[in-house]
Amino acid sequence: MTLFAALDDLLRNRNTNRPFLLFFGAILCYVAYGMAAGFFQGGAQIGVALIKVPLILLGSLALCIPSLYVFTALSGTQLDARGFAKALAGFAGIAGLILIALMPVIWLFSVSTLSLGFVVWLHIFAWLTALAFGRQFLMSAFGAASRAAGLWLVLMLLVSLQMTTYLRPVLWRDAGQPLFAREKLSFFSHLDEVMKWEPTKRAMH
Amino acid sequence: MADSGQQTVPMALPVRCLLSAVSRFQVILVCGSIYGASLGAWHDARLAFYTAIKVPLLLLATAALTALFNWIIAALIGLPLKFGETVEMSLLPLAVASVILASCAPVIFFFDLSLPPPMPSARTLHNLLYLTHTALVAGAGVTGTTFLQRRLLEVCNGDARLARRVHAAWIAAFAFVSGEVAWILRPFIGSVYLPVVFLRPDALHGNVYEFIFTDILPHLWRLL
Repeated sequence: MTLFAALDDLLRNRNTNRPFLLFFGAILCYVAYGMAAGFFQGGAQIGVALIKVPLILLGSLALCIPSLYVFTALSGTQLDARGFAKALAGFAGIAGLILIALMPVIWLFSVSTLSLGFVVWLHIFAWLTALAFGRQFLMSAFGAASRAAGLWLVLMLLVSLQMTTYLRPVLWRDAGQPLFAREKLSFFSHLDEVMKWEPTKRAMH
Repeated sequence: MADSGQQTVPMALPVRCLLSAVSRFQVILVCGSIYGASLGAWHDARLAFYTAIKVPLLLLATAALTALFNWIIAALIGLPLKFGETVEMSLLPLAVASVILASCAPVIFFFDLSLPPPMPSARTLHNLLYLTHTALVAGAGVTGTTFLQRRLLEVCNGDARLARRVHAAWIAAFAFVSGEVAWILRPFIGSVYLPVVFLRPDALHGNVYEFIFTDILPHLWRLL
């Protein structure tokens, strides 16, 4: 079964029989989405974004795996390790599919928008959409533990926002700015900084 | 999912760990330490070390201090348990809460690592962290008590009213005592103004409820 067939099978039948293939497919989707996001600045930032976006999503997922396991186990889920891996791969795959579906739209807005704030909200909207569909998948995968899975998604959202802040800058990097910012920041402050970003900066560059 | 991969296994590991009193004790020690370390790590390694000791201490001290009351009150309400059974059941919600809190530790460590360090200008962040941890502990505690309620229902042979009454009495005792033990064992997150200590010098000068009634409530009243 090829990678795309595995993703297609997930899309059509919610089939997660090949979890490793699905994980790999999801990573490719994240890479493609990151590439589209990088077009906001263009140039080398495309390469930076296509690495950082999968890092953000996979890093967040990795940090949240223990809590998903414990939340769902305590809520009565009877999935074994393989079943859990399948559910996780399915979630990652669904999120990847939504992001790849939105990729052309993201690309269009990335190449044509001047405001960093606008594209950031667009990415947040895309991620929330991916999480919403991921939620539906988790609800069916975890059955009795669907509420716990829903709660876990809130945690996942918060961690992904902070991970984005930790791995910033993703969309725009000023000349001479390092690949990773050294200053520690909360995602609230980061979002505040982004909203204060001057749209004219892009036109000037 | 069509192929959900669901195979019935006897019990998931976090549930199996909660079966006996000894394993519950171990779970509280290990998971409480992990969460405790993540709680103090925002401040520095020393506070992380202290809180890794203090969180299990808080949970076990609460269980120890309430055990006698729980045993007697259960008997008075109409559920004569053996003392050992009371202790075993008292540890259940605390163990469940510990497991939940420990499962969030990777996330908390990540936030500790990526948030601005404690300093006087980070007071808002400190307060936000404080509230978040409070909500997290409360959520984990409430989840833990649902396990206790189920266990009590089993012991009460399905008498839901009796189980509810015992449950309410035990939870009230847990909440009342754990608030004071936590107050004595502070700091957990650490102050942005004060140096790190294992226990504050004024740990035993006044209790948390005195503080609420003589300090917080009058302050709020003046604001109104």
